Amino acid sequence: MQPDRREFLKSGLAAGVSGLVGAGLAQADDLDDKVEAEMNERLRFLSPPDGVASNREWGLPLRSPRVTPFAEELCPHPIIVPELCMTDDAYRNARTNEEWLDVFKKDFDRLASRLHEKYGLDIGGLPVPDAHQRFLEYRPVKFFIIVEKERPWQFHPMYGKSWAWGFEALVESRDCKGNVTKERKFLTPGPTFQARYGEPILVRRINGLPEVGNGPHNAKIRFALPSTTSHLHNGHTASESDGFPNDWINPRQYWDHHYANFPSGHDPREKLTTLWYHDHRMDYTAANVYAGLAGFYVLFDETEYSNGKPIPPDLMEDVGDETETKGWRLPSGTYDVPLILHDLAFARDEKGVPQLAFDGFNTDGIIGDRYTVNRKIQPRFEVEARKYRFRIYNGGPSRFYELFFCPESPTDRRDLPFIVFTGDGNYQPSPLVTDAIYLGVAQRVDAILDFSYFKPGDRLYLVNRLHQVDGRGPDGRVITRPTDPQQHRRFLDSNAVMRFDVGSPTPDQSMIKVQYRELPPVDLTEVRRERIWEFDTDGGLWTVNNKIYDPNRIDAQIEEDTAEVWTIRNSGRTWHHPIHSHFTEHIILEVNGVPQFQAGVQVGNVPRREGFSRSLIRPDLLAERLTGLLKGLDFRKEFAGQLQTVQFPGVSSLPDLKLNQQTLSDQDAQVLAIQILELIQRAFYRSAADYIRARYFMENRFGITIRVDRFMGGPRRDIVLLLPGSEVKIFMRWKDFRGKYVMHCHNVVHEDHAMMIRWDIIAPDLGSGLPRSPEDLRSPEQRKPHMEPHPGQATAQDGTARKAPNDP
Amino acid sequence: MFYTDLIKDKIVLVGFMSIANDANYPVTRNLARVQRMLGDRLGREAHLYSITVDAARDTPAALRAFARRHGAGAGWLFLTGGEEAVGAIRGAFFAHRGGHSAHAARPAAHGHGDGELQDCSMGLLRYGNDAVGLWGSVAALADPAQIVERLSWIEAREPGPADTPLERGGPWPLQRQPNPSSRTSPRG
Repeated sequence: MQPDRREFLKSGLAAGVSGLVGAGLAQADDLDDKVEAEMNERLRFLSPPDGVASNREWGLPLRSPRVTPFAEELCPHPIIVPELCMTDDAYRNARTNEEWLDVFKKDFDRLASRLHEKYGLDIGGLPVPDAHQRFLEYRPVKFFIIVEKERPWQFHPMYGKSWAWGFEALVESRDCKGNVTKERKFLTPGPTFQARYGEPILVRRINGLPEVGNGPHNAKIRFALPSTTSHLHNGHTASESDGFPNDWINPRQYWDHHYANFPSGHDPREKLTTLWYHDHRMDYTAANVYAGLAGFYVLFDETEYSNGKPIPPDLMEDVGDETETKGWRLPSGTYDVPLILHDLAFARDEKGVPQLAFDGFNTDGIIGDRYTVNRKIQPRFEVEARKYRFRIYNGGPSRFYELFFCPESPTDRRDLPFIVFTGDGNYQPSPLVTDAIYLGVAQRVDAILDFSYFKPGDRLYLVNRLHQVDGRGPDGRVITRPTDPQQHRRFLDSNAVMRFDVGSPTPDQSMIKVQYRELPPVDLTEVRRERIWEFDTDGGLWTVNNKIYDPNRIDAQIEEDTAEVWTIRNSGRTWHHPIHSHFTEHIILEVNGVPQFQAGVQVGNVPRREGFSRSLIRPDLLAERLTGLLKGLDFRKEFAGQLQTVQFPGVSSLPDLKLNQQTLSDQDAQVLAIQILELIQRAFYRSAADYIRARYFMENRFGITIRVDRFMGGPRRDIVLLLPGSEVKIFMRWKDFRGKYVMHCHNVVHEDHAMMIRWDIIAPDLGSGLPRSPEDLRSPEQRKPHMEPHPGQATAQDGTARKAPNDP
Repeated sequence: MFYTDLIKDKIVLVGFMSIANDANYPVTRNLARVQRMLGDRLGREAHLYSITVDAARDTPAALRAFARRHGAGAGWLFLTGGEEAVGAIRGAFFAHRGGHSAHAARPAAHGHGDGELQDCSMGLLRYGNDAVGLWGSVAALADPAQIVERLSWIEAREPGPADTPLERGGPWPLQRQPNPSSRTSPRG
């Protein structure tokens, strides 16, 4: 058993000091109450206060103050609004870079003085184009400002206002009643960027956090460091904009991030959709993200070519509009909902207000006992009875999740399936119907949940059933769903991350396609090198190839425009490590030596729990309902004929229906048909689970039915889910930018202690299999005698970095 | 009292060691370099503590000799105490809830392997500013310059005047890195 902080003080180290300073140290038992009280106060924001009963049920270090779950309604997350749009004629007519920059400078200066006059906001100097690779090649079309701040935040109505870190920005926010306002607002998680491929943006990030100290204007949150860098996970971003761990800024400094928003190598198969930005400060990533420095960044496909011509409708994909009939028609707008999960712990401060508690002395991993979604403890979310696209993020710091979509009634034993179509932001070749979603730290999925079966007033829960009490990872226990009503209630109250309250049905034009995006090919002839990375532990530290992170050591030099095969190996037999490499996605080739088929790779070592049962078809009911429906509706004869030939169950899912209706010229008839079909299908399935399964009984183009017990990320990802004792071989390619990046464990507590390597993308033919110093990559005149791990110093770019086009 | 005398209101660097373990895991040698870099700031602005986990063999006399051998000056203390007391302090500084035990004193067991009890306290130094309650940790064998730099991160700072203009933190022009001496920010 661990001694708690009280014992730490009581024991007082009965020390003999080796004579250097004659400090007379007192004996044990000599407890000074006053000192204990002081220590309590100082440790309050650092770690669980003394005397907090350990939570035996959870095995957690402390128990957060009690809450009533599902008390607060989650409203749509605000979208960031650009401060400047560089799209008008003045920009379009600029013939040279200089002319473009002149226009931008005028706009920027005007913006700066306006913000200063109106809000007293200092936004700093003009952006520096030649600080960025390919800036003028990918001229930003929008300019955003986000300011990192410390502000009060209500995690739960029973908690009042706690201190949090987050971002202040100009946002368009929509309250739960649908009223839209444009305002400057503090948010944690930060505002959602809705970016688009083909639209480069520039984001100025200002560190507006208070300094460390005890004064009234100093930081209230004491476990985190007000020194920040922000990583866009997993954007195809130039090194200087990527949020390298040592590119930090201190309070009252700013950093510009240029997000070019084009897919790697301009290959549309490389496109991503669900990304996020989060702090990446060396040594303090876990603490700073825990304090609140994270936000959403979602990417949609372009709707026009770079020359301004619109993309023909039949080439449109995820354009972010479900009414665009030729696109993928995924649920969009307020039906496209990002949800980030963080498990947090709280302890009351001297005023009795619960504050975030973070144990910085725990290097295994931090597990909180309060589930939060978008930084609200177990919220409820009101949905219309239709399809929704949820982007579910595991925001860490250390917990893994296995999420189920659970009905409220204990007698309804079938969990509802998710229709998953992305893993870590990568479109799957085909969507999958799955019972559970397994999410390692920093993993994301896009899933469609279909509420159309349900009646107004029905309630559903997103439940985590993976048991985890420490930073090792899940302990293998799956929390079972009880049958007893009271126990079932308790199960939902303690394990549901959020609740969905179903409202009335609304028109739903969104669709689920049978096929989405093909994976980029694996071409082993592109492979220049193979490398092995072993993740291990050593004396309380976390190591990669027996080394801890050193920003001045380049562990891999990767040549631009090549591919490599990396073996990611877990040397621990009990530790889970979600490994993330920046900048580029990987494709899984092998898991524990077994080649993986891309259609089915899950990296799960669980046996199938149960098969999918075909639900009973009741033809009598079908005939009755169909007649009733047809009577009341007037629609085209040919469609009525087709409807009668529809086969049940399943294969008549929506995309097929869409194909069958090519003879229909009228869009309304099509929508009507879909709605009727939904009603009919609904009538024939006795439970929601059967209904959804049958509706989305999907087959890929090889005719293989894609349904899995649990979705673990798919074949293409940016997180290698390294389960204990496992080894994963991956294929990656690097294109378009050069410079320094990192790979690390995304159990961010491990990353901070210091399970991370630096790798650089360098000019062709300069690569090496051995670690080198950045000095080696510089030309002699650039060499400096000593380098500090700080921006612009040791972690400077390789001297051969791509120049900006106008750089002399 | 360990806390009142050594930690309270101070910026400290705390490491666990034993003379035997130091033979193959030379933490003390590294700390001697840290001492050199801190110079006369050690003892005034920052304090360095090496706490033995092997009190039976590391007697005060042995520690004194060991400290002298490494040239430990004022502001760098070598500490020992009862097993329970040292265990309690290690427990306070190293919360391993993953099944490791900070109590299972296996002085040389800084090596890897898991599923077995192992001591995880000697690979890391804890550094903290007790006056503000901010703590961090750094590898005991990290580059001494990087260890010293970390102490500056946790210093208390008053916010500057409200009208101080914002400063560009970066990125910097790719081919024109700033002159190191031009950066005066205390954390830089």
